[in-house]
Amino acid sequence: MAILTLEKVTKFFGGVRAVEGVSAEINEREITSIIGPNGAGKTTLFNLITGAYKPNEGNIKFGERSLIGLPPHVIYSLGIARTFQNIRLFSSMSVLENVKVGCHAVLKPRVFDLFIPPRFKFIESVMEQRAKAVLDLVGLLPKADFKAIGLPYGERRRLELARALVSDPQIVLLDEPTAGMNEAEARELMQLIIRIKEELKKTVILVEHNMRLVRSLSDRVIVLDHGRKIADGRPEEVLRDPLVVQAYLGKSQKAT
Amino acid sequence: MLGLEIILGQTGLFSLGHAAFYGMGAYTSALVVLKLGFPIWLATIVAILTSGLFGAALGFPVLRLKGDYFAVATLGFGEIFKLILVNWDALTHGPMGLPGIPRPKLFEHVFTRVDYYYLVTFFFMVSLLLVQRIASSFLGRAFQAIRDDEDAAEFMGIDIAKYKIFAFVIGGMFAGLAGSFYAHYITFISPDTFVYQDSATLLAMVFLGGAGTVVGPVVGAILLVLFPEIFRFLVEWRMLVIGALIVLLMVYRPQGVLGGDIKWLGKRRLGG
Repeated sequence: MAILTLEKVTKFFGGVRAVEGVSAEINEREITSIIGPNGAGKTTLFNLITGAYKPNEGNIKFGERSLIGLPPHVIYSLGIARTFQNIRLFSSMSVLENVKVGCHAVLKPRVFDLFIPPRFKFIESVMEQRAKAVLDLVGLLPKADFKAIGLPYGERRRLELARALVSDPQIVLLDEPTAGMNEAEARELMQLIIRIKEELKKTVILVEHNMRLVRSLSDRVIVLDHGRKIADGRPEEVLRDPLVVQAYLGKSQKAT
Repeated sequence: MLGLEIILGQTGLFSLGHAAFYGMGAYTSALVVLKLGFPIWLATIVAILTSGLFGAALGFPVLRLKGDYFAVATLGFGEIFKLILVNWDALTHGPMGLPGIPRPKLFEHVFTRVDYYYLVTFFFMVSLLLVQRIASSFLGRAFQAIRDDEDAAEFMGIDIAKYKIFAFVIGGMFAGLAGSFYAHYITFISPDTFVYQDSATLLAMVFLGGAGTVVGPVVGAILLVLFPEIFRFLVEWRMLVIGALIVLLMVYRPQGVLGGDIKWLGKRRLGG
């Protein structure tokens, strides 16, 4: 069943057509990979879905609801969370605090709750529980009190993932989650992504360059090239598609 | 000063117009007592509310700006506020100022200087606790998230505009409280009392002590008040030495006296 529907989504930056007429249906509880050469519009597509940009044309629907024109924090609170290609943590805060920030949209605390001790305690304790649960999932619970900036690279990526999961979103968008990771770290993260789908029953959309990972992880692959969708389907079919091989795999055989 | 910690230290908004909030509190408090005959305690509350309201009013147009542009806009706001004080003769007596502001009374007992000292200390401690509470709560975390990475905060479900305005309102309210106390203590206020200079001094206090910590700005304030007194014997060289000291402090502890991680205060940053 489609949980996210893109209808002829188009975005121009000046004369550049970053995303052009992309239509797709993202199925619930599947892992969908978006691949394509650099500059194909993958991250732009993420930014359109999460509300950072407004498309020039087309519609994006979450269930039956259009997301067009909603600010990012509202889209987040509807249940679409993301991570970033270049990790963006709140660097001065602790690991636990970073994750707690993600709870705001769910609990919606009001300023006055600060002065109502039972409410205050309730909010803080729920945030604490939720944050600790996801940190446990990604294996960072022992480091909860560390400063986010002090974590090694791979753990920072996992912290970002935890922060995206804490609001219990329906869809998780992962922008190159294994970028900069070695094989072992990438495999570990792959296991984690599978658990997010299987145990937490989330829909996962990822942008990824690691072909081995895409092949073994994805239920479905969408290929973009120069802002257009050139293929869409099961990984084994799509990755054999001559158009895709020409546009993408042919040029970067080294990476596969 | 504590109010500015919320705005600058926690949320990372660089406000150069904080003296205006302070002045707003002082004038509001003085005027409702003098013209409307409000009791002083009520006047203080009115002052807090007015300054907070003004924080919100200023927040809406200005908070869309980032960094330097934001600072310039708040600077402009401070100047506008001063010009209004100077030119709105009917209400503020212009540059002449407002004399004869009564001291507060409690059960027919007029506060002396010493009483006042205790009163201010009391309110200061309460404010300090409040700010500490805010800083370590969900609200503080939202502020800090905005400071660290505004865009990421927005993607993580933080309504940036709303929380920035909250920061301004809270900051304004604290300044309003301070202003009201000041007015009833000195018993005379004029537009010259609330100028850019004071905003700058407040900023210096926050930075010197350590922005982002709750106790830091207090230390900064103490230092900035103590330095001139300690070096009084240097007569005209005094300000030069103080300036040099501040420069040295900033070079060797750019995060402020209490900023960043300090081992002997425990692993957790104060108020983090």
